[in-house]
Amino acid sequence: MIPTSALTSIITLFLAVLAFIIVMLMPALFELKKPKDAGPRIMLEDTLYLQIINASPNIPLLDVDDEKVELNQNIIEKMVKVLAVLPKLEV
Amino acid sequence: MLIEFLEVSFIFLTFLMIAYLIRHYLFTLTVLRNSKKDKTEGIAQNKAYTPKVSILIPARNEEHVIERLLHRITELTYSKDKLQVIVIDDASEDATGKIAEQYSKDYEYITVVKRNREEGGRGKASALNAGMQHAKGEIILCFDADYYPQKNIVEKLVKEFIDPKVGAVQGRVVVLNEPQNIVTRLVALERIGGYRVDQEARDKLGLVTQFGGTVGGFRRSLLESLGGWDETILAEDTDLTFRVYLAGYRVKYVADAECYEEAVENWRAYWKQRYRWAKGHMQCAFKHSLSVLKSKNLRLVEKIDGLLLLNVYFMPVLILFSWIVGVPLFFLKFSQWIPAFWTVAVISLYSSVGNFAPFYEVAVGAYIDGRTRAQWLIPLLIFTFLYNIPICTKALLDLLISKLRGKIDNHWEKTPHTGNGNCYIMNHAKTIKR
Amino acid sequence: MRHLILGFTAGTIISLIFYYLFQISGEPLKLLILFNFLFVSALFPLNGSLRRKLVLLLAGNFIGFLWNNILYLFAFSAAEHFGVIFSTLFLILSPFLNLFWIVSFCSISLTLISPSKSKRGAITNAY
Repeated sequence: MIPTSALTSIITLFLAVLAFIIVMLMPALFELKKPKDAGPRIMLEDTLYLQIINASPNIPLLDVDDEKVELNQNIIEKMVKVLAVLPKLEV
Repeated sequence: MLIEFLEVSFIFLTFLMIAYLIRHYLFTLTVLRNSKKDKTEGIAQNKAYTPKVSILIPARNEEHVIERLLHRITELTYSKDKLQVIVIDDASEDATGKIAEQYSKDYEYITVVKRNREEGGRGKASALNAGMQHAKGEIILCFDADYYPQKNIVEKLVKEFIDPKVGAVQGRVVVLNEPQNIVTRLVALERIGGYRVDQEARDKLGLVTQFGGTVGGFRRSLLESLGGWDETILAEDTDLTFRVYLAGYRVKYVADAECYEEAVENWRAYWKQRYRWAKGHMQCAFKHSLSVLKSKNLRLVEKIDGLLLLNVYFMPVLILFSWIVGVPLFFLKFSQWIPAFWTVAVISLYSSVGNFAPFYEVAVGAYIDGRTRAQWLIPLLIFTFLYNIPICTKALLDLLISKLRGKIDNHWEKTPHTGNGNCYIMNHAKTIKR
Repeated sequence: MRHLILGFTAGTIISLIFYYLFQISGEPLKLLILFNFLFVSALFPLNGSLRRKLVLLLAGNFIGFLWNNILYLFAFSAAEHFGVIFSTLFLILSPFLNLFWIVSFCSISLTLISPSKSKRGAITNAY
């Protein structure tokens, strides 16, 4: 069958529609294939978090060469947040 | 005459869908506004209120997951001398009973109620009622066997009962085995839309918050006065929700009381679960719609929201009906309303039927949770909704047929749990010898 | 609220521009209006740069315009060739296809609206 120009146009447009749909679906397919979402959502244990956050602003951590290393509350908060996103770590 | 009737039906359906879409948009805005406020609630701080709590765990053939929950129960921070845990071994044929018995021997606050084959296997409501006979606590909480709560979840749920108007509480459900496959990921999205936005908004707006059957509980006195769980209804949780509201109490949603669940892992299990939910929900709609309308204990907005909630599982069926009828009507140019209806209907198609949450609810829920990549999966929600159409249609047909026959068909098709979520929890319980 | 009002204003202006500049009407125009409405109402209330939202809104309109042209060209050609059967199928499927791209675009746009804040928000809200 020799394709008419009308049929060729229809096929071309159909392929364009299909391509558009695939492009629209690509992010979903990409996320399914190579998931980067850090699920499941981590349930933080409030008791631990609040204990750390409510702790005194400067927490003496350890003695290193006879000097105390102190971490302020901001760093503690950042540490807790890092812990929160590690996927298999239950805090 | 028929054409006019169909045209009026289309107009009605269009406005009904618009009502649902506006409702959910308002929910979305409510939650967005609320999420910008400083969250200072934190954990339960009212140390003066520590009633005795009974936790009911109905379990039937849950050997893959029950140990995880029971071990978690032993880690709960709530005072153990005020805690009573009742595992209802509902005629299990696997090692569920043995696992529960072992914990019962090791921990005196854990007891096992064993049901034999004659008594058991009649569904969750029956099992819970059996467990309630042994409950001594002032507050009764329920957890399904595949759940995994926060350590201080009891404090968080119980503190709400300080308000005498609160008859029941509901925590947030989070899917544990989310990364497993496309089914679990889409169910997780549904849960985000349903709990992070829908439930929270209904609570904040003083509408009808739903008790979801697990991760929640009741005042024991209220539960007893209501006669416990209705064993003739498949959605015993929805039924109780409305009975609580009709009795003049309310259900409080506790957003920071979180609990992991194991979502269904394949489309067949999804079908069975949603079929049960749809049929049960429809049973509740038939049972409570008129009572909700007539109730003196509900405000007008609660009545409207309650009716929309009760009838939500009919919507996929109505959409199917409208397609079947609408196409020939459109070609015959009998109705000007069809294009408008279809536009609105299709927006609604991007809905997760559990709470009929349109895509923007799910999207905003995921956004607030910071799940930016999970949002990429939202376009796929249309497939779950399309899948829900035959599920809800079959549920309705089966329900109508059973009503016509005068037979109550409440066969409880239990959702199987494989324990595949265990790998996402680092310190799950050691397995005992079986 | 301010973003929402500006968003609806921008959406209306963009729709009018497309209407006058490209002479679109009927179904394609309705769909562009629908896209603007959904996009603005879903995304503009969120935290994020207004400029970014407006850029995404404009991009969405162009994508929508392109999509409408391709889809309706295909639909008219195929309907002429294949008749009523195709017209019926198109009638049933076109709302899905149109919403498909709108929802996909909205989802991607969400991730582009203040992503760093969202991640912080995730951790904060996880508590």
